[in-house]
Amino acid sequence: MSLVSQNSELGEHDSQTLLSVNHLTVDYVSLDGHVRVLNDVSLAVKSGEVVGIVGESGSGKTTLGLAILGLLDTPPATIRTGEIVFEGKNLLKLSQNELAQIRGAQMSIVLQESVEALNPVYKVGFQLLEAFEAISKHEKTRYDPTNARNQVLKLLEELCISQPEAVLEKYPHELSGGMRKRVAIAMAIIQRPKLLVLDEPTTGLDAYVQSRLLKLLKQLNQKYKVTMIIITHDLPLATNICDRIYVMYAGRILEEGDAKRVLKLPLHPYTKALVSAVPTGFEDAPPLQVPPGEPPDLKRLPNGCKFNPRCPNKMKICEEKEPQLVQHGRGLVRCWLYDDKNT
Amino acid sequence: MTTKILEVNDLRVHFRLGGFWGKRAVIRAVDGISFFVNEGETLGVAGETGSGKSTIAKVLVGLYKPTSGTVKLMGEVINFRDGNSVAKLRENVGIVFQDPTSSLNPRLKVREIIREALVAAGVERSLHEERIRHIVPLVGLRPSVLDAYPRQLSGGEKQRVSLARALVVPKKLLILDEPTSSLDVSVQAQVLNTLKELKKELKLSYLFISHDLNVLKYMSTRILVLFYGKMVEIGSARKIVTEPKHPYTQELVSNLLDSPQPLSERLVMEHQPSFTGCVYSRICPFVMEECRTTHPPFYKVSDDQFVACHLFKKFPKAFDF
Repeated sequence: MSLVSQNSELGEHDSQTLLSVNHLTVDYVSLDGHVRVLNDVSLAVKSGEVVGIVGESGSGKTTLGLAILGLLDTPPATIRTGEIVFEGKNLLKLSQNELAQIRGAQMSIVLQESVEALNPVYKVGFQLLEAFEAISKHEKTRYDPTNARNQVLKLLEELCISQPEAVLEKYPHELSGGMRKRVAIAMAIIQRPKLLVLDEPTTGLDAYVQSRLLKLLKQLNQKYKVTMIIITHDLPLATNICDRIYVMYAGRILEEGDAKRVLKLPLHPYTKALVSAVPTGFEDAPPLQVPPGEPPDLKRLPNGCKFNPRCPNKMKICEEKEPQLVQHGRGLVRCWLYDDKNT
Repeated sequence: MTTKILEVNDLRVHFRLGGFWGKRAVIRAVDGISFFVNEGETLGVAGETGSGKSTIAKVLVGLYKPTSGTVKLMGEVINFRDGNSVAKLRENVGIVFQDPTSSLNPRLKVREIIREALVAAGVERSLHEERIRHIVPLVGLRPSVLDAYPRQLSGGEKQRVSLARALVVPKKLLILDEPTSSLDVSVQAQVLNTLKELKKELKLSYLFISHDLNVLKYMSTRILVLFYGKMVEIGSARKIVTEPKHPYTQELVSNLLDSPQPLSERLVMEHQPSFTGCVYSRICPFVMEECRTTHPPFYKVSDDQFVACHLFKKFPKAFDF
């Protein structure tokens, strides 16, 4: 599944692929050496799919999200190898101008720090309507301010904002974190992009706003066929909304599979740890099963499998050679436990 | 007979806004809250943004003065206008905040950060090093972090430093204000495990504030549910999670991620408090006429569950929970 051709005579599978990332390797270069943040990452997203990228700090999930949108700052980031193909075009070969045509209208991102998405010196209403004006320009339709305003209000209401009119008249700093996040999400989905990347969309939101948001995203996916990539550290949340999940660790994909399968029958010991780390019992429940140690330090990665210092199923080979991502059942897993070559 | 470490009675914290030219407004951040914390238990506080969770925490360490109501620490009423009385509160009650980065001084080494708590408590200088050496392994830190600056630590380690600072002077009650919500899942699990061990080891009681009901359920003996400054339900964690009575608690519980309800059928609605009658009456699906006019008293549904809702009128009124 490499380059996607726009030629419809090609296989059905290929024509459905909206985005594919092939063998992407990204380094961050700084004065004290370089750090490999993404190591040979490949993924494919079909049109209409909701894909989750799950991992903890330092797994490279945010870098991957930014790279897809062409938003990585270079330097410090350097893309060593790989390609990012969106609708048949390799985004890494496009000029900034051509990218700007695609960003916003075709693909859009909701950043983790929603503050960064909003301009501090303009009122929220102005910024939201500006996004609306931009689509009209893009689609070459007449821009109707009253209609736009009504649609913006409706969208904000759907996102659990109780007094949308008042919010439009506020500056970003006057809003709470959760409110800002919702405004940023509204801004990203106003344009009905084909691909929406959401980086930690629910952190800092109350449970009821979270579930409201998930519902809205699901609707967006079903009604307008918006393809989504959801980047999160919360595996149960991801399985709630995603069709398929990639689990990342230390810049590598460790497991891929159907969302429900990943939660119920995780293959990789790291995925198992992520599942068992979520508290479920009551006060008298036994201590949570967690691997010792912290998320990896990319400057000092171990030899062999990058998870081996924390792995409960560690074998000799794990310290010597890094496993490949291999097919297991209908999913992929990078672990010697499932690799036939391990003899 | 269990002893009550902390008793809070009819606590109110109101903030005045505006005045002068603007319209005067009073924000009732905490309005008529009563609860107690038994020795050795964890009282969980559930509620969303604006429910007053953090305001309660700040009152209990003397950062805010209550507008009215009493706070009793080990049977002794705290006078918030008297510095000595507040000092006593701070001596016995520790706090760990949500954001470990902003609560640690970036220019001090970890050793100095922890030492500050000892200086503030007036502990003799010669004892400092020994006390620090004692607490650091208890909170799960390597002694080598003592010479590091906060920026050199990971999120989990920073939160453990906050814990060490709060506990280096022995405390009776520790307030944990969203202690793990900025941490990774696996690190959160490690910190929760440490908290449970510490509680046994140091004979602590916790007031555990969180918006994550999964975490609260796992940590708490009893849970208190807040909605816009008012208490709506209090009871044992098991009862609150398995048989929630108040419509708001039911909504919270239906949001639990491992709940069997599929996503689309979950109860979700817009949250706005009502200023007359029951605070939840504006959005309550079971609203009745009297809900709009009178705020419900607490009814005792069972020995370990109390709810402020007119639906449960047939149960006896309760004053002590």
